[in-house]
Amino acid sequence: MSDNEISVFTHQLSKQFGTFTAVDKVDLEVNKGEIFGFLGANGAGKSTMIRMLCGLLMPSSGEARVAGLDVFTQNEKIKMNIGYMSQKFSLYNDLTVAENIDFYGGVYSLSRQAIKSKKEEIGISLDMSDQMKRITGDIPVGLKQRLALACSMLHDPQIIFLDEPTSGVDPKVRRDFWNIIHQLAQAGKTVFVTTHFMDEAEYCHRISIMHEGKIIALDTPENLKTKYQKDSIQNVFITLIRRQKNANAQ
Amino acid sequence: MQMLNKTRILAIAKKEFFHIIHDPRSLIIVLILPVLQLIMFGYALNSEVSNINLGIADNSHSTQSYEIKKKFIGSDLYTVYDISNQPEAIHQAFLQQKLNAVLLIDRDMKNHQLILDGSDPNVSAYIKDYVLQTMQSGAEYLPVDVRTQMLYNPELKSSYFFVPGLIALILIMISALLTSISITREKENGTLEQLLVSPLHPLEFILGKILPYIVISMFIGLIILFFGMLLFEVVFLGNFIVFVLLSLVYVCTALSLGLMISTVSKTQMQAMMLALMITMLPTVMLSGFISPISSMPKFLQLISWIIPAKYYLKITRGLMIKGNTFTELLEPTFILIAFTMLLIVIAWKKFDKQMKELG
Repeated sequence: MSDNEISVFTHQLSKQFGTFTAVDKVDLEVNKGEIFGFLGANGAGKSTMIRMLCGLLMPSSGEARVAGLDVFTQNEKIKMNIGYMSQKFSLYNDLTVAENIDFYGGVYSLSRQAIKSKKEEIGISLDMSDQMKRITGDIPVGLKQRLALACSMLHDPQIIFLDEPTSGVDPKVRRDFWNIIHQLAQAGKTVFVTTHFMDEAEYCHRISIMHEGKIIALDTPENLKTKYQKDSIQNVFITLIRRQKNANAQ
Repeated sequence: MQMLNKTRILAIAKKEFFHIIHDPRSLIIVLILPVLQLIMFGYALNSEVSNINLGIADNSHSTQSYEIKKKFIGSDLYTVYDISNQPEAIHQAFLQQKLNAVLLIDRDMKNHQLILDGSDPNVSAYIKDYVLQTMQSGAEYLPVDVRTQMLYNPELKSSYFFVPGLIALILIMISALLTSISITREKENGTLEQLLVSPLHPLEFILGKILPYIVISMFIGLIILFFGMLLFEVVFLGNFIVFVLLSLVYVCTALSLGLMISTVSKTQMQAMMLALMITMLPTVMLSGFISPISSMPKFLQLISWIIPAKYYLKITRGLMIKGNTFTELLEPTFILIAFTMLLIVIAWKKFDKQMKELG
């Protein structure tokens, strides 16, 4: 497979905080246009993993390439090629919708013309052309989530990292959001998403399950269910974690 | 290091500006607070004595002693009481706080005695000066005639002393507060994280953050100057343009101090407390604002070297009261510029480190 088709590649990637190993020798390949789910309990190492790939955190050892660029040395170039959204929907709640778009456009050095057309585009796709002057803190949470996603993608990145994007929103909003994720993948974007909702894992092309810094399973949701003979990812997850704990106990 | 990008700096500055105008209440507080502080400090710090209760024990009962008494009675500054020469009576008058000073006129008109209340040395020192001045006025019969000339502030108005100091104090407090809060707010809201995954350079972020607050802080500086001159009748002898330029330097020092504070604080509350702690007390105590640095113990004098207000005070007092020119103020100006650059570099490096370790 050529580099162009692999969006995220890691080999023996590790991160230690003092004596604690948050990510332990992870090997990973995510293809272009894939929705790759990252599952695990809190503290399993999902966030550390995503932070290393986004250039927020320097890995301790191993190899990692994002969009064909080296995480260790081409950190700044990676930033132009990725989008990132966390559960906090990093918008400025006291600014208007338009001001938020202007600001993030400016941060990615978009031209005034480009920002203007992006604004129109977002206005149409989010059906909020008439709400550009509204204070962001006042718009409904679902809309805010989609706006945050749009703002994190103003520079048309190939890869989008979503860190628990659906925590704290209701099921209807979550479903809508996953529809958008699928549209993005169809448009050729790679989506790297962490979640602790097991039902959401079913929407992913492939998922990996993390436990104590290691990937303990990696496959399509269907294959995992067949392999462990369970009817849902939820049960696959429980079985796997239980086995892991028993192995540790022995 | 990649080149600093003007678009990104302006994007930050513009956004910061929008934060300010979307929150007019805070803006009004930020603009009114300094004036209130000025009024409070100004009137509370006023150490001029407006009325002296003076007891006079006349042991001479001569025309000469009557002349002296007349001088005090004729002045608005004194309320004169006759008092007997008995130590017990004088002591009682001080204890009951009826009198601020007692003048014993010598029977032979040679060695008069002035008794003062030492429990408030500052006021007593003032009273001593006033009483001696009054006695000496037109005193051609005194053996030694010393005429003092007080340069720059002939009336010894204390406002000449504290208004320049207040400009220094209020400017550094408000400016440091503004920037320190503005960055910790981004930490708390998680927006900082979003900026960290963007191509934004930490120095761009820092410069963009300072820009809009320079305007606000300068405006505050001018407001304090205006009200200081209006309410406390302070002169302004120097060049106003030089004042604006050098205040700009000081404001930048204060804003970068705020930035530095924000890199070590986790919450807005913490930043606020730290900004006030670092700016207020050291500025009041160690800048020469109230008591002269030369009369402090050596180690405090050493600490005073790192107090930015110390240098700005030389500038404001020099420009307003003495009419210094720019070339005479080069030294404090360069020290402030050096401080500013140092603080920005510290803030930038610390911030850069935090960016890489956020986890």
